[in-house]
Amino acid sequence: VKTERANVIKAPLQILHLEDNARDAELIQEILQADGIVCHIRRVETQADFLTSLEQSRFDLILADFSLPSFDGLSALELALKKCPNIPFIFVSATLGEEVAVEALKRGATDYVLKDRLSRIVPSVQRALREAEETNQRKRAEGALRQSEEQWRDVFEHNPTMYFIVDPAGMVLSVNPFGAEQLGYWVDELVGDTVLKVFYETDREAAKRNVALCLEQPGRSMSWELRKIRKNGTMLWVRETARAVLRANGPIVLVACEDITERKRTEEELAKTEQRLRAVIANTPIILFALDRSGMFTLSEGRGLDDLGLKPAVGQSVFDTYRDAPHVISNYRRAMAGESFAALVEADGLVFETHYIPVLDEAGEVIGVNGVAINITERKRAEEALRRSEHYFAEAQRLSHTGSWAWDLASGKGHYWSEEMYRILGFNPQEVLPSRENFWQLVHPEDREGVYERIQKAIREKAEYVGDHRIVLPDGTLKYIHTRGHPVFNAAGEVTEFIGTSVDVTERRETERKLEEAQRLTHVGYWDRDLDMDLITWSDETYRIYGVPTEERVLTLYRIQELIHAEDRPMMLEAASAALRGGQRYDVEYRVIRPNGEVRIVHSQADVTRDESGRPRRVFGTVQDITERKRAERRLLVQHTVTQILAEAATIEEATPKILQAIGECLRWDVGALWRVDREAAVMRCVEVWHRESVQVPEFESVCRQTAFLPGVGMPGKVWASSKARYISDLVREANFERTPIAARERLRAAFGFPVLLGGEVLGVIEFFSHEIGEPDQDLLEMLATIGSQIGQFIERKRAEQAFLGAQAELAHVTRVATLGELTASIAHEINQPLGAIVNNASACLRWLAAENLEEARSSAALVIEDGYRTGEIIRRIRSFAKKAPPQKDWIDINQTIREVIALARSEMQRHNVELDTKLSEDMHYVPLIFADRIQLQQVILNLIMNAVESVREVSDGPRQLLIRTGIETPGEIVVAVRDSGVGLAPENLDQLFTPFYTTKPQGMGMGLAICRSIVEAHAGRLWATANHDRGATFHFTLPTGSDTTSRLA
Amino acid sequence: MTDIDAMVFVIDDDAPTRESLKNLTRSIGLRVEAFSSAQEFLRSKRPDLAACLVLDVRLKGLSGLDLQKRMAEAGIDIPIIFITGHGDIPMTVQAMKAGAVEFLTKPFRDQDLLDAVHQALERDRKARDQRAKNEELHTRYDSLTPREREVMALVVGGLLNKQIAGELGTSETTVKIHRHQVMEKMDAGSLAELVRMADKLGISGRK
Repeated sequence: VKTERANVIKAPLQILHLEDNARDAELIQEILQADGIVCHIRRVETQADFLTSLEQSRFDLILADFSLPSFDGLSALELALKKCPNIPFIFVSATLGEEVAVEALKRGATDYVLKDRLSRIVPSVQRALREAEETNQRKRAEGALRQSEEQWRDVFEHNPTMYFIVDPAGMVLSVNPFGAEQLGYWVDELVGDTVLKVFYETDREAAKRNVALCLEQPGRSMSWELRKIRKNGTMLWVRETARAVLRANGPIVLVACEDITERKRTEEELAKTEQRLRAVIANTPIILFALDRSGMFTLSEGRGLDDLGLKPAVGQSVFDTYRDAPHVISNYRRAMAGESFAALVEADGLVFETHYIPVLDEAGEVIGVNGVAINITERKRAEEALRRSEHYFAEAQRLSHTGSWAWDLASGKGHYWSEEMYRILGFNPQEVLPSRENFWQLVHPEDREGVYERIQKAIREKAEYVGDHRIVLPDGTLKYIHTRGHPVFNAAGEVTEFIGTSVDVTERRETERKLEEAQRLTHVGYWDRDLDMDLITWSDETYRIYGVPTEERVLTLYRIQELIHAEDRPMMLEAASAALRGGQRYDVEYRVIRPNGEVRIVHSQADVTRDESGRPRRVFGTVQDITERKRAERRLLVQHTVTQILAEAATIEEATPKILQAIGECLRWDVGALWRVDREAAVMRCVEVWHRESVQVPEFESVCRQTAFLPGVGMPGKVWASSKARYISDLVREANFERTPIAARERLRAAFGFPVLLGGEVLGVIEFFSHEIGEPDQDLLEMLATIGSQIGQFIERKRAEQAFLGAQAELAHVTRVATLGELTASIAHEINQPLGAIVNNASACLRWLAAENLEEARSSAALVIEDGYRTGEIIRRIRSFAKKAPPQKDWIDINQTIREVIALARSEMQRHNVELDTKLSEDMHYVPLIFADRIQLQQVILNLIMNAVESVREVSDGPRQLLIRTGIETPGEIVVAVRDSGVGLAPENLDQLFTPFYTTKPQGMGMGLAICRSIVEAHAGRLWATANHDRGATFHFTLPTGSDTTSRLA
Repeated sequence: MTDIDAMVFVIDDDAPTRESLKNLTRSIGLRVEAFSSAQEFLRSKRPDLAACLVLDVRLKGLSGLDLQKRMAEAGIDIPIIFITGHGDIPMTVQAMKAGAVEFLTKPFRDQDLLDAVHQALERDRKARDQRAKNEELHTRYDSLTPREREVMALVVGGLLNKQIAGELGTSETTVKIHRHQVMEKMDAGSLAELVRMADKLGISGRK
């Protein structure tokens, strides 16, 4: 108020004075001013002026005369109240009754001052001004309140925020129109109803809870986000801020509610976007990273991290993490210096393409680095691999002389040539593609037409182009080119281009040519069977081997099989199918029957080529004509076998059947016969017939055995007479052959005969027959001639041997008898022994009889008889030893033989006080028998014993010992050793011991050991002597055991 | 006529011969035991009877002559009749020198062998008697005290009692007593008899 007053004082009081009397007006002004009221009075007399003044100026006070000439006070009051109701209105009038005054005050005048009591005007004015001031103030306050209310109301009603006031039970006390409108309701529809109905059903509980929470803590604001539901059912996200307020009549909850649906949606969108982005980053071989000013990682994400061993982690320093990778750190520094760039960064063997972007603040200062590292390791590898693969491809082409090309049909020009293609055709790869003319010029003039035709044909038939042609390079070099082209079709099925390869096969051609040459020389052909295409290819030599003209290019399995000997077909097919099955390698020998009937023996080997699945695709094999070799082999085999038979056989009778069999089987002849010359009768007789087991020729055989041929008659007779081999290709057509009808009946066709010759003399003839017709084979006949003389020599040798053996046996006998002579004294003793026993027993017998002891007498007589037999046995032994008998071999027990000899020599040994010990191999559970002449072996053993006794006798001191030992030291061989403790042998004499007439004995003949050795050797054994370590010597001899032992002495 | 107090040993390595010798010996009533080798014979326990040995000269291992030598060394005093298949003069001489009763060559007459056997047995019997007597003498001598043996030796040496006493450093009376004891124990009737006994015992008289 003070302030107001100060203002009043300060500013002159503006007074509108409605007065028709100017003096009055001046007076009043003077009074007021006199009382210190500074004022400015505007006097108006008319209604119009009054109104204008009111409208135009602001007045603090209105003074008005009650009655005016053109206007009146009450009307003015009315006007003033209308226009400015707050300006105090004081009547100053002279003529006014009480009623008028009441009326005026009733009507709203502030005061009433009579002109005659103008002194009152000052307090009245002051009071009016004061009251007006108060009113004004009140009015202002009221106005301000009202204004504020209105503003709030406006805020409440028009703010684009939803406001709700709810009571603790959740009933809507108030809602702003915006709020209602946002939810699709009228305000009335919500007020009084539960607020929950605008909440999304699932969020209602949360809403209740939130209201309760607010009520627990009045005055405290809380906020949350919930979903609401509009009347039309659509949903919106809201953020609500609520506070409970205590009111006189209880708490209420004020809720401000903001629609955040859009934000939520954006957020979700953003989240989704980020999620997607993160998913991308997480699955992309990149690394997103951010580094701050200090080099600390503030971001490090992306799948690229997975591959890294050393992972940059958020919170780590690039300086620590990449301590060992200075280039990474220098990249960081470079980016911090403000440069945006990309660099390849290698880490853990991986290559990253890394982009660095400096991060700037508002001031343009670099505050960090953002970056992305893309793992390009694979790409690098792929690039490298591609580069290499291209390199290899070019290299492969170069090495294989293979060029590739593409040829455009429309332009008739090549539009792609590989580097090697240039080289093959002699162009520079740096140049442009050669022209069509250039190309044709290269083709050998003779081949141009063929190439052209083949190209046209391939185009016409839309087929593969395959062909060989020659090219001539400008320098005259000739090359063979093998070209293969593949048509490429357009959508319309037309051939637009050919792509293909051209191979420089010059070298291969050359090799093939040489191979052909080699095949021809070695008789090796090759063949190739494409199993997919069922196509068989033969080399020229293969055609030659099969005797098929090369023109006959159509080869089928059936045709080939026809060329193979029927007997060999199953074996061959079996071998082929085994090889295809993956069993044994195809390696067979079979006979080929050439179309002209000639038989060839071939050896074929093949390998099967398979694809990855193991399916056979191709068989490549060689075929070699081994006929000559086979024949030679067979001849060699025959010769070898015959030689062996002759070496092993003791007699020609033993050898003959074996020889016939060997020749027949090796050379594949069916029947063979041996004819021998009977000198006395001067005819030839059949002594042996052989035939293959599968062949039966009974008639022929019996006829042969009954027939005798004179010289020059029949095949044997003719061979005999001429001493030459004979060959008949086909007996059936040979009129000159006596046995033809029989031969024909038994289907014998080819035949040959050859003489068994000794010197110029024919000893016999061997003939052979075959069921097959065969051309004379000169090699065969020559070989047989050799065999013939071999047999002749054998016979001759056998004769000589027989003679020698006879002489030897004679000599052996002589020495045996001589030995016996040496034994005379011992033999006498030997016989004396039983003789003495006989005498004794007989004497005793007599005495027993005299004593009438018949029992003793009888047993004495029995002893006499026994001793008599014993004497007889001794004599038999000596006789048999001395007997001159032809050699006779038998299976004998060597130990038994030795024991018999010991019996003969026992007396001799006793006589000379020689102690005999034997270690015969009897303890062995199996003593092998030996096939030998008993007497001859006894002679050897006796001789050795006698020698030993003799040697021992010369020893005056020391034991006189003799040890005979038998045993098996090597399988198949029994060894007998006679060891003495005699004077021994001088090493220099060891060799001479066995020489005839060598002797150390004064009375010795010197034949003993020589005979012994020849006997042992005749038994396929060995005899030798060794000096003993201590004293004396040991004589050893071996004899083979087992059934295969044969001997020339037999 | 079996002579059960005598025994014939036969050694021959030829079984039939051995058998025939046994047979022959038994046929004249003698006990016989045969061996195939000298070693076998040496190992055998022979009865304490008059005996003889029919021995083959040639034997495996130890020969007949070796055995003869061996027996002499071992003090086996059995008369030997050698038989042999081979007559061999040096061998015969050697055998006979070494005390063989007979040397027969096979075949021999049965009577020759039997005679030899009887002769040999007779010889053995005598020798056995002699040995028995000697044995008696030894037994007596063994019963003497050392002093008595000294006295005996001096007595048979021809010394007088007085001399003996002087020799032994004792009294004549003591010597007399010892001398009497000796004569008693040795069952000697006279000094001459004692001297013979000493001679048999191989005691040389001390002078």
